[in-house]
Amino acid sequence: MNVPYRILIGAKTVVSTCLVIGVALAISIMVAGVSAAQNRDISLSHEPPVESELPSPGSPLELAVTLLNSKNSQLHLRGFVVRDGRLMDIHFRDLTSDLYDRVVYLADIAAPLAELSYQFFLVDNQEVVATSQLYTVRRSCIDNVLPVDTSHSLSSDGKKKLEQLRDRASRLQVEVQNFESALKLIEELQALTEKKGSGKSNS
Amino acid sequence: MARVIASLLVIMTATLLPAAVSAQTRTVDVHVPGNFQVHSAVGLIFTQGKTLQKNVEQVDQGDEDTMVVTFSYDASEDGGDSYASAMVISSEGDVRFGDIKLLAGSLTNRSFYSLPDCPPKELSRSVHQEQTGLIESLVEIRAARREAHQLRIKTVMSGPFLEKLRRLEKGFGFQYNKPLSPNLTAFELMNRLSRLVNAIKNYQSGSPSSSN
Repeated sequence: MNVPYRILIGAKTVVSTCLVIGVALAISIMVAGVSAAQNRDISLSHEPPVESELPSPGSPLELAVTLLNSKNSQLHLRGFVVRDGRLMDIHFRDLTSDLYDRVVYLADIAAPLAELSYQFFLVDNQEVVATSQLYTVRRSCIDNVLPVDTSHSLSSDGKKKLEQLRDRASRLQVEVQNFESALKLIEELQALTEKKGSGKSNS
Repeated sequence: MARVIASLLVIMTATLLPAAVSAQTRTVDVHVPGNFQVHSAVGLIFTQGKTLQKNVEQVDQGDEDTMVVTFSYDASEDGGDSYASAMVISSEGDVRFGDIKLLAGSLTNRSFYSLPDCPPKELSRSVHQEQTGLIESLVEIRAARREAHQLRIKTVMSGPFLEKLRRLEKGFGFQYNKPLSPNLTAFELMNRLSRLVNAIKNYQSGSPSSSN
């Protein structure tokens, strides 16, 4: 814990690949009546991101899940995602179809700082009809996401200065992207909280 | 008679002592956000690809917004990469997840913590010495954009709206070290707001939101 920004991860953010299995257990209690005899024909296909292609921390990461052996777009897909130790229940609301006319569920989540574990559950009337395997992606190193301090003087050595500038430029880019995402989320929150507080809608 | 009892004691000690040593019981406390009438609670140990359910010994009200769930596990169940959490179900059917805690025996054996820091991005070959001025301009432009975004966020995320967001975070049981504020780092701000948006959408669509 020499680096301050590790604090961002914090003690609570330890993630285990088996965690989502625990979540699976939880959902089996939470979602009434998990089907003992799941429909074996229906399955889910997903190509997880490879570590080297993970976007910078906080940048949008699209998860796409293809429904196999069914064209029933009424089936609801939920993803239990543990991002840097924090659990999120993602409801896949965007649907599209691929070249083979198969239903594809889409959701954007923010890329993790260190690790992402997730598993998908296909739900039909509160009954889990298919589950995916557990996916885990862990970065090979931790990016510095602390604010860039541009007031620090740069090295007088030309090559070193260039390196410092390059580092600042690239970290600033990530910071600006995250602020832009935050602004969009704030607008979304303004709209969401205008709907009678955050109460349930009838839809 | 005394001999028989003594022999029995020796046999029982010899038989039960190794079992007692190997079956060291440890207790773990898990904090679960919320303050409600508890219907049931389950302790969870996540270890080596399997999940163990544990009977909860006690659920205490830690403070105004936090419950403390206590349960025991066997030391042998801490396989070196093991975690504990808990799930509490209210009498209304709400489900709350607790903190995810690394078990004591796993603290020294966690590769997550040993992830190295990323080195600064390497210079691409196209970036030459004479481009220093260009990169300096780029840094200035990006720094100015950042400042403009921060200013806008501070303007919008203030007053009653900020209070509302803080109440919502609390209501959904999200626990953080710092209160929600426009002064958080860009990553943390985006991270927290995205969780909040997701939770509100789930709530408004009528399904429960899981939190930890």
